[in-house]
Amino acid sequence: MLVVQEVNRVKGKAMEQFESMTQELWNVAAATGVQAAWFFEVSHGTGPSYCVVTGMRLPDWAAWESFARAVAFGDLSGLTEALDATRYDSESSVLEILSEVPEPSEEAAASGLWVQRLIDPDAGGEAAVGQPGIVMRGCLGARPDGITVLTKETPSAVLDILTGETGSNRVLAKAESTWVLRPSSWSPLR
Amino acid sequence: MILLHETFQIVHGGLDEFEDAYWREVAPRVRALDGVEPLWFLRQRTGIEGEFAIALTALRAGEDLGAYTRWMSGDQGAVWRAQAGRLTHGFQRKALMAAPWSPFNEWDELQPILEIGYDKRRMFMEDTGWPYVRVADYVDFQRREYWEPLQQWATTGAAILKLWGFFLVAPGTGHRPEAIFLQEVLDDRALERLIGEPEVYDPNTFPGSYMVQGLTYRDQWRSRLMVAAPPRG
Repeated sequence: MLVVQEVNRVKGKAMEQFESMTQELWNVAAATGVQAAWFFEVSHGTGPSYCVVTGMRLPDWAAWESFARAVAFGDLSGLTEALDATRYDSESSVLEILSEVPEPSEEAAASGLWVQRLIDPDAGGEAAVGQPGIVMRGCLGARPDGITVLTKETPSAVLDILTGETGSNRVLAKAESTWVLRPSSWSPLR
Repeated sequence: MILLHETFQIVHGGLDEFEDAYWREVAPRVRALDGVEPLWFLRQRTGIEGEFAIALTALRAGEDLGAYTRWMSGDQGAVWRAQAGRLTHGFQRKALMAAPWSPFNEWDELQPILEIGYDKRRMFMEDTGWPYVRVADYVDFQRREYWEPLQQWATTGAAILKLWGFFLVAPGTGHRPEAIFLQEVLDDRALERLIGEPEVYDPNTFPGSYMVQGLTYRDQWRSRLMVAAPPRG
């Protein structure tokens, strides 16, 4: 299973249109095998404004190629251009899911925050495979071959992470970049 | 066909060692994968960005891209990753998709391109543009105002650039909106004129018309001159 993740610099006044255009694009793209995965905003206090991280699941590389061709020069190009009008630009990557394990803690499962950690290639990130959350390997984009770990965290755990006062998980502590993400009310992954 | 575009920002003084490692650890090994063909290794030793290299690899289809990324991130690519990691301070892997009117759509186009020799220095120019209009309008502008006039020019035998292809960065692989023109310089004297080109363009003659009209579509782009390394092994 692959994920196309896109980090979008959205125009502030066009935020609602960006959301509705994203939903429309996902609905139409479902015909190419795309499945909506997540719609997160970077949490206040942790990064840039109006920065939205979207994710789409694709079953395999053939489905990615179909989707990519449709966006570049095919049936999805018009919708993607309508989305372009609501953002300044975006940076995207293709990630391959290595493992996906539900969060065992009820408290974390009920929380509304997700944390995405980026671990450099060959830094030992593969050890996170099988741990709670979604563990992915970068295939294309800015961080190829690195490991990305997406976990659900309680708000107090997020504060510990941001203040550097957590250290219980040696694998996740290898992350060189950590994003705190707040899902929209309609994000498939909440 | 998909064109894989890997950019390596290389530590100062490391370009030769990096290139040696590429020809030893990458090119012959990924060539053994079905549907994967190393195409060009382009390098720049001196410039704003310092030392960097771009490896362009042709892939027949999406499944072959998957095989390539698995090879790279797996045990087989470990030696290369270790060497590349030591010799670089930046790395990006994009996938390019050719416009419908551009070469590099069909796998069959590849063989004659691979047969072109390196008996004299080959220099490439990559122009990367970031449009602020609809991407489709930008693609059409490039076809109408650059691709077609240069193709016409080429028929006169006076071409100074070979246009290899025009591509969009595929979704999931980098920046959007972004488009790349890949060209080869055929005449060094023309390149010298280009570098010293006047700043005021005549909007009624090519390339003035292209340069003036282009501001409707974008004002930010990046040109990179690179030497194509003769293949080894």
